[in-house]
Amino acid sequence: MFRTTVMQKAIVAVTGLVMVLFLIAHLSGNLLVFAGPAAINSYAVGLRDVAALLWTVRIVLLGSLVLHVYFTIRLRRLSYQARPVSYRQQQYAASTFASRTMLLTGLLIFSYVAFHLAHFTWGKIYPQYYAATYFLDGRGPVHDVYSMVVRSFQVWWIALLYIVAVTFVALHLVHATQSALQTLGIYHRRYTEPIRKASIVLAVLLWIGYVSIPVAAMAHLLEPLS
Amino acid sequence: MKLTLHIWRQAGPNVPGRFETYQLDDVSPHMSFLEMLDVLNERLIAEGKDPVAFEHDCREGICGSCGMVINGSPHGPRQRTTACQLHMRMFRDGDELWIEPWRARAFPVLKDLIVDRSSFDRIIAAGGYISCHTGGVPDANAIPVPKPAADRAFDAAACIGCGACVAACPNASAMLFVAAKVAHLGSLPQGQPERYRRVRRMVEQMETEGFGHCSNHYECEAACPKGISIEYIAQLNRDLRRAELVGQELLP
Repeated sequence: MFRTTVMQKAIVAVTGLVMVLFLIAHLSGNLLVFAGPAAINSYAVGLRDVAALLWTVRIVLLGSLVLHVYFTIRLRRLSYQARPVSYRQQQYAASTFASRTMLLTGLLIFSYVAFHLAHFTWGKIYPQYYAATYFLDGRGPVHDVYSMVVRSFQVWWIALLYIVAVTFVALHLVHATQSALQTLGIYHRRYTEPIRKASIVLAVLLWIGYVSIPVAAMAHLLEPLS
Repeated sequence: MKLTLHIWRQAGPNVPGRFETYQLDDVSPHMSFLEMLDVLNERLIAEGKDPVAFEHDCREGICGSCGMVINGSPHGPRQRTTACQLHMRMFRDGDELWIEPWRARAFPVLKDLIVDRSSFDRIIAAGGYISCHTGGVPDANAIPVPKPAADRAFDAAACIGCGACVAACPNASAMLFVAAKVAHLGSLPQGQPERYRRVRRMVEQMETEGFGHCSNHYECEAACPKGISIEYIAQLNRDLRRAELVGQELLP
């Protein structure tokens, strides 16, 4: 069933769209940092409370990531073999910088995700920031996500690395969303052009949303507790 | 017009090729691109040299024989134009032109600018047909075809199989060609009985031939001299998914 590249591409598209949905959900949670420590810390502990849901989402995401990367690399290898002698000169007429750098941005994002998990999920980078606790009303001491995030992003290289990685995500998404829909056979003479534009708008909005947090921390609009 | 031409010369399929440079001093802007090459070849023959091999037939943009990459664009810089219909007035006096064959594993170079496109023929043979009884001429309009379906099929049938889509694709994918053929027959009532078997077989043959995969750069659509739309690729994707997921035996 998945022998052909067309069907393998469909897997890449579906798993990619799953990760786009995750990016939107993840940002919605992250933006609670602007609502203050109580809001984001209770959200964070709330997520851990629904362990079954959290682990379902984690497994789906991990599965999506693995399939997405595996099939992309497999398909790319075929394409490299498909043109053994390259052109001396190639004039691009329709492809974009984003579409031609999908593999590169994808691999850079993939490496950053490992760092990002080590940092905020496993607490291996700056463990002293990870260890902070917060007294949540009606709950008691909980993991202080707010201070961890703000303190981390006040470290210049962490913020810079994050902004660079988010920029790669946005660049990847400029091509990704509309491409995934085309791969799934969604094309409409009237609506495809607006969908392509919306795909770029989504990428830009996500970029602004994600980048706003380290920028606010560096500008000291957000300050860690104590 | 004076032109400097850098042309890919390759004596045969299994020998390495290289660019050779030629000067042309008296090119008329009214010549077609192929006529310009004819002039060069006349000179090469007079000098006792091997003329540049290139494929051509109708020279009116409908047969799909000619095709070469000119300055990085299949069929040259003019949109929706085959190399034979490209005129030298598109270029300027003193221009330097790099002329290369289509480059794809599935299109091996036979000589100079001629590539072997029989991989396209094998894709057609795998499913690009309808089965019907031969015999007397059927009555016109015996099978009603809705106008939108007829238009859709007609637009897809404009594909001349020149291979510019493969040449333009960064992945050397033949998806636009295959999609045009699949959509052409799959849009018509006569094409329905074999619709899902057709898409399956043609895609499988495409991959056996060693074409790359589609990653939606849309270079093919921009390079196509007949303006075949990538919406047919979306249609192929839908049809193939249906064929694979629903199962052949359940399909009409």
